[in-house]
Amino acid sequence: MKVKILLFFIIAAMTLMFAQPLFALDAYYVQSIKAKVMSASSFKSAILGEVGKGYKFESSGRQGSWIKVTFNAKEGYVSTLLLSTHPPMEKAGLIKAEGADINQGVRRRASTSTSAAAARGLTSDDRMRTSREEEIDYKALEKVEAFVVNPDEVARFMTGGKP
Amino acid sequence: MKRLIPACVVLFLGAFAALPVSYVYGEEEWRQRPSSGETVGADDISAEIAFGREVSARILGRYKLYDNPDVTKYVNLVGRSLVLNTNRPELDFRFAVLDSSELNAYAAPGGYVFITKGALALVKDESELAGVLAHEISHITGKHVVKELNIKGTEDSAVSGFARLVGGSSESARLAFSQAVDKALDMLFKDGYKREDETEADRNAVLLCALTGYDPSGLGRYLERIGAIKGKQTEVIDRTHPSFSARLAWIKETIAGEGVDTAGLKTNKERLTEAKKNLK
Repeated sequence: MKVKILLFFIIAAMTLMFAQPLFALDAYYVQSIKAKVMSASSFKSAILGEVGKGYKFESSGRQGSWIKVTFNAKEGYVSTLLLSTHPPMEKAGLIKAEGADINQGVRRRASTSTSAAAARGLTSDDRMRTSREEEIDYKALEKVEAFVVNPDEVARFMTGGKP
Repeated sequence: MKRLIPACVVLFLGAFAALPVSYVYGEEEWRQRPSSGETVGADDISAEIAFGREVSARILGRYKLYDNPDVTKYVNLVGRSLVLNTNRPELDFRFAVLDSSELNAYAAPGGYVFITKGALALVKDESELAGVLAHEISHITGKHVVKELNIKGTEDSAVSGFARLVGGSSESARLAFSQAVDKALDMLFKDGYKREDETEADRNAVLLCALTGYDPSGLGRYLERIGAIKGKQTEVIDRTHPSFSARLAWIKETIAGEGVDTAGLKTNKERLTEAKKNLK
C-alpha cells in the first residue's frame, strides 16, 4: 500500500514537472479584424500568414513591440497592438454616471453645489476643483454618438473607395 | 520508507505550486485576477465609457461641435479604419470635429476622439490625419487617463476603481467623480499626459498607421509643420506635449527600428483634398 502511495506521488510530481514547459506559454487572442503573422519582429520580414479576430496564439515571449508566437508549427511574430491576453469582448454597455442626465439635452453649467460634509477631507486644490464652473454640452455629445458609419462603408473606404 | 512519503508529498506540492496560474485557474479566472495587470470586466469598460462621456461633454462645452456631416463622415472613416487594427474591439470609437482654429486633437476614455477644424485644415494628406487620430486612439487603447488618475478599486485596478466611482450614488461618490473628470480635463488642457505616455502614443500611432496601410511618417510631417507655428493656435499643444523635436526624433526612430517601408504605404492626398472642400 505504502509503495503504491509512494509511486502515485512520484508519478504525479513527474507529470506536473514535465508538463510545465507546455503550459509556460502565454495565450494571446487577436482583437483586431485581421492580424498578419511575420517571420521576424519587423515590418520588413516575410508574411507567414494572416488570421482573423479571436484567433488564439500560444506565445513564448515578447520582442520589442512584437509577440513571439507559434504559427503552423513555425516561429512567428504579431504586433502587440493587435493582441490581448483575453478573448475579444462584445461591445460594452454603459453605466450611467450620477448627474449625467443625457435627456437634459441642453448646454448647462456643471453643478457647483457640494455639501460641506462631502468636501471634508479634500485638499484646497480639490476644493477649488469642486467649485470650478465648466460648460457641459450633452446635446452635442448626443450628436457625436448618433453619428453612424456603416462597417461596409469603412471596408470600402479602406480599399480606396470615396467617402 | 516513512521519510520518503512526506518527501514525495512535498515534491508533488512543489510541482503543483510552480505551475503557471493560467493553467491552475483557467483562462476566465486568470483574466479577472489582479495579477494579470488589470481586470477587463464589462462593468469596468462601461464605467470607462461613462467617464469618457462626461469628459467629452465638457470638451464639447469648451469647444463648439463642428456640425458638418460630410467632414464628420470622412474623419470617422479614417478613424474607424485605424480602429480595426487596435486591441479594443469592445469600444465604439467616435470621431468628431471641434469648431476651433486651435491646432490640436483630444481623446477621452471609452473611445471619444476630437480634432479641431484648425488641425484638419493644416493636414496635407490622409496619412497625416491618420497619424493625428492614431496618436489619440493610442491614448485610449493605452488607458493613459484611467491609469494616470490612479483610482484604485478593490482589486488594485484603476479600471475597477472607475466602476465603483461611476456606479456610486452618494454625494461623496458624485463629488469624487466630478473631481476625477476635472483632473482628466486638466490633463488634456493644462498639465498634459506623462512624457512616457506621449512617447508611447506617438510610437503606437506610427505602428497603427503602418498596420492600417498608411504612410506612418505622416504624423511627423504634420508635427514639423505645426512646430513652425507659434501663437495662440498652438498654445495648448505647446503646453501639454513634449517638444516637437523630441517627438520627431522618436517617430523617426520607430519607423526605422520597426523596419517600416514607407514607400509602399498610402498617403491618399487626393481623397483628403476632396474631403477638405467641404470644410467651411
